[in-house]
Amino acid sequence: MNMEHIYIIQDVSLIAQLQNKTVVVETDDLNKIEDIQNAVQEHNQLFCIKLNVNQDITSIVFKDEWKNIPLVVYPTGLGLVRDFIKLLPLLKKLNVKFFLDGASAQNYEAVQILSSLGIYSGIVINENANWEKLTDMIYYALCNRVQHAPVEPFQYVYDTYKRQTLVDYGTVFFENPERFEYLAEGRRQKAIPITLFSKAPLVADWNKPWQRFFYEGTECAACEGWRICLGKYAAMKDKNGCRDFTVELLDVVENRKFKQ
Amino acid sequence: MINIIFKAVEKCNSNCVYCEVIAKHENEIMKYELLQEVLQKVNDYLLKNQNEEINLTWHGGEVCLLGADYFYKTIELLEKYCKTTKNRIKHSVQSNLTLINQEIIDAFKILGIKNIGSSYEFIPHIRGFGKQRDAIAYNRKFFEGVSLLEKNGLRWGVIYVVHKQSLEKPLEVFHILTNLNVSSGPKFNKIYIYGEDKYNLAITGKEYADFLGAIFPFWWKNRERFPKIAPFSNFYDSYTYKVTQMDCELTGLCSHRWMYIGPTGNVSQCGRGGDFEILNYGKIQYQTFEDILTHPLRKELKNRTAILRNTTCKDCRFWMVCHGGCPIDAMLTNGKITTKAPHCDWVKPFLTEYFEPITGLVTND
Amino acid sequence: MANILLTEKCVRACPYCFAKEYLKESKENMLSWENLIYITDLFEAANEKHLSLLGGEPALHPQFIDYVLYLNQRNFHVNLFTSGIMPNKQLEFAKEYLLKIPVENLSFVCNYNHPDSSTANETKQINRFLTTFSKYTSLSFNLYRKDFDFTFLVEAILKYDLKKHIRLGLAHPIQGQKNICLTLDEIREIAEKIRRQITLLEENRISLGFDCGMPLCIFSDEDIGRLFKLNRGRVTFFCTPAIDIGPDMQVWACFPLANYEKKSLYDFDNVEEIKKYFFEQNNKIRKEKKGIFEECKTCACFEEKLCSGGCLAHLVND
Repeated sequence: MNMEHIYIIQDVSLIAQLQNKTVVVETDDLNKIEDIQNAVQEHNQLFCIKLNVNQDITSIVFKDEWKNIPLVVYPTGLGLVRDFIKLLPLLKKLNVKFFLDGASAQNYEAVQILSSLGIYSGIVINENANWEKLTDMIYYALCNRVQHAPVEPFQYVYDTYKRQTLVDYGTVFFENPERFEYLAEGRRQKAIPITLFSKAPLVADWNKPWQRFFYEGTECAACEGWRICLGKYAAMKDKNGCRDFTVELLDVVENRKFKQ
Repeated sequence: MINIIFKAVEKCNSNCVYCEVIAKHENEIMKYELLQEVLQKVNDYLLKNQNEEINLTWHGGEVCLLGADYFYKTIELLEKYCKTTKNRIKHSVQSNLTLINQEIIDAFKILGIKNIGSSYEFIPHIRGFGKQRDAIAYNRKFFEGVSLLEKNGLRWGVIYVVHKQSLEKPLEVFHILTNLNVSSGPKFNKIYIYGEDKYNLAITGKEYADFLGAIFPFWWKNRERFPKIAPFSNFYDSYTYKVTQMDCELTGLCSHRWMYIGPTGNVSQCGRGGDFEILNYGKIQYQTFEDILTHPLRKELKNRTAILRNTTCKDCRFWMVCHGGCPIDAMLTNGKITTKAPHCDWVKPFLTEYFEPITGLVTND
Repeated sequence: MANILLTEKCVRACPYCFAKEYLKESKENMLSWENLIYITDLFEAANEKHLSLLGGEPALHPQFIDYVLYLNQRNFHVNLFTSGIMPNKQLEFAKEYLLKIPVENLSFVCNYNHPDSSTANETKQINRFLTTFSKYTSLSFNLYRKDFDFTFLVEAILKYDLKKHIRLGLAHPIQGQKNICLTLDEIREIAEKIRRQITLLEENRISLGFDCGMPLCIFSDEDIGRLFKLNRGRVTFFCTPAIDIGPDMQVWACFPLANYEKKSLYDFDNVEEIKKYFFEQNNKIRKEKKGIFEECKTCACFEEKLCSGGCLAHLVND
C-alpha cells in the first residue's frame, strides 16, 4: 500500500529540520497546542497533535480556538458522564479523537459512550487489554444497528482489510514503521510497534519487522488472526485472548464487508 | 504453448533433504555458446510456428547462482537471435530467493517476469544451508529476498512439500503458509521418496489425503479469504467448470508440450524426467525442437492416457482430475510408464472422504 | 415504549407490588452502560425514541442521572418511574443536572402511596422531590384494595403544582407468587368507587389514565362518557405487551407475566421482533381463555377489541 510518510516529533524546535513534510507533534502540554500548530504550518503540514495527558477528558480545558487543529488525545479516562455531556457541544466543534487505554475495564464503556454520542474514539490494545471486552467491542464498533462515530482500531481494520493484504492497525496509534518515523535530535527511527521489539530486531528491513516470526518459529506466525495482528502481542505468554480476539475481528470484518 | 523447464544450472546453495533423492546433479553452468544455441532453436521453432509461444521456466538448482550477468547475456542474445520472436518467448522463474539481488530483479523485469515461484519450509533441518541445514539463516535470507521482490512490485508464491513432520500440525502449516504471503496461496505437494527413507520423511497417499483433509474444512468455509490454494482450488475449478485445472502431473497432457533442457544440453521430458534421467531425448545440440517434440520415446507417453483410460482407470469417476497421475512417478514406482502413478492413493481418499462430502460437489467424469 | 429496569433494588416494600417477587430474586443487578447503550441503539434503530426507566427504585442506580442525560443526548424522551425517595445528595445532583432538560424531553411518574403508609422521613424526601420536579411529574396510584380515596392525590397535585394527571394501576396476581391484589369480584366493585372519585377529578380538571388490565365492562356507559370527557378522549381498556427489560437483559411482556415467559434480549434482532413475539404469546392465551370474566367469551367489546378482557395475569394464574 502506498502510504504517506509521516514524521513524529516530540520537540517542536526540530520542525526547522523539515520542509514540506507531514508531521505529528507529540506533547503533554495543553498550553502549547496553538504554538505547535503555528510552528508546523509555517513550512510543513500538521497531520495531528498527539496529546498525552494524565487526566480524564472532563478535566481537560478544551478551547474553541482549537477547532481547526487535529487532535488525538490519550487521556486516562472519560470522567463523569454528566460533566462530559456539558463538554459535548464544544467537543463536537473540534477535530478531536480520544484513544483510551484498553487495560482499564471502564474505558470500554467510556469508548461506547463517546462513540454513541458522536465522538471519534479508540481503544489502545496492549498486552494488558481485556480481550473479552475487546471482542464485545468488535460487535459494538462494526455491527451496530445505528450510526456511531468510528471506534479504532476496528474501523481501520474494516476500512483497509482487502482479504489478500496485511492490515497493520498500529497505523492508527502511530506505530506502523512503514508509515511513521520518529525524528529526535540527531537521529531518526522508524516507529516501533508496541510489543514487537522486546528482543533486538534481526531484520535489516524495518518496514516489515513481522517477518522474523516466520523464521524464529513464533506461534504468532501460525495464528489465524495474524494478518490483522502481525504478532503485536508476541511477548504474551498466554495467547488465547489475542488469538480469539483477532480471529473474531477477522471473521466479523469478512462477513460485514464481503458477505452482506 | 511449449513449456521448457530450463535448468541452466543444477547446483544449489541450499541443502534440502528433498533434493537428496534426485539421481543426478550436473555441476556445470550452461555455457553462453549453448545458451545461444538453445535460443536460436527456440527462434527457429517460433519462426516456423507463428501461432506458437514458448515458456521458458528458469529452474535449478538455484537460478540466482547464475548471477545477474547471465540474465543480461540472455537478454542480449534474445535481442540478437530472437529479434522477431522474443515477444512470444515468455519467462518464468523458480528460485529459493536467498541469493536474489536488485541486479537480478532488474534483469527479470526486462524479461517480463512478474511472478517468482519459490518454496518454503519452517520446520528445522529439512531445508537450509550447510550440513546442519541451518533453516534460520536460510529463511532470513529468503525473507530478505521476499522484501526485495515486494519492493520491486513482483509477486511470489511458494510450494510446500508435505512430509512426515508436517502431518502433526496441518492447520498450523496452512496458517503459516497463508500468513507468509497473503496475496498468493501456497501449493501443497506430497514428498517424493524412492528407495531409502533416510530422514524418515516419507508419507503414504492416505496420510497426505488426511493432511489435506484436516485443512480442507477450514479452507472451504473461509475460501474467499484466501487466494487460490493448490490442490483445493484446482479440484474445485475442475469439479465446477468441468475442465482440467490441475497441475502437469494430473492433466494427462504433459506428453505433448513439455521438455527439459539441462546445463550441458541434455533434453528430457520434464524437470523430474531430467532429475531421474527418465525419458531422455538426447542433446539439444543435435536436434531441433520438432525432433524433440516428435521423439519416438514420446509415442509411448502419448499413448499412456488412452491405455489407462481403457484399462486400469476404465471406470474411475475421478479420471478428469487425475489422468493416471505423473508418468515419471509411475515409471519410478512401477518401472513402467503406462501404469498409473500412486496419485490414486491420495486423490481418491481426499476427494471421497473430504472434498465431496464437504462441498457437496460430485464428479461422474 | 419499553420499560428498562435500571436496578432491582427498591427503597420501599409495597404490599401489592407485583414486581416484588421478581425484584427480590437478584437485588444486586444494576443495568450497565454497555447494556443501556445496546438497548438505546435497539430502540433508535426502530425509531422509537421514548423509554421509561424504572426499578426497583431507579434513583438507586449510581448512574441514573448520567443515564437520563445520556438518553437525552441521544434524543430520547425519558419517563422515569420513581417513589421520589432518594438521598439528599442524589436529589441535589438531579436538581443540578436534570432541571436543565426541557420538560418535553423528561417526565417523572411518582408512585404515590397514601402518606399514612410512609415514614416521616420518606414523606419528607417525597415532598422534596415533588417540590423540585413539580412540572415534570405526574402521580401514579396502584389499587390493591377496595377502599381508596383520591383526595390525597388531588391534594398533592394541587399543593406541588404537579401535572394534572393520575395514572391508575391495578395490582395483579403474579404467577407462582402471593402478592396482595384485587380479586375478580373486587375488580367489579371498584368501578363504583372510581365513579365517586371522578367528580373530584372533574372539579380539579385532573385526568385519569388506566394502566393496562382495567376491564371496560365494570363501568357504565355514563362512566365511560365522563371518563372520555375528563381525559379529552383518551380512554383505553386495551392491553398490549409493555416490554420490560431487566438489568440482566432479560425481556418479558410485563411485570405480572414476568414469570410466565422470559427471553433474552439478544434473542431478538429488532424491536419489531420482540413486539411480535410477545404479542403472539398474549394472543395465544387470549384466544384460548378470552378475558378474565366468564362473560368475556361472548362480549362484543372483546370481539371488537375495545377491551382486552382484563389482565392476562388472572388467566395464567387461575
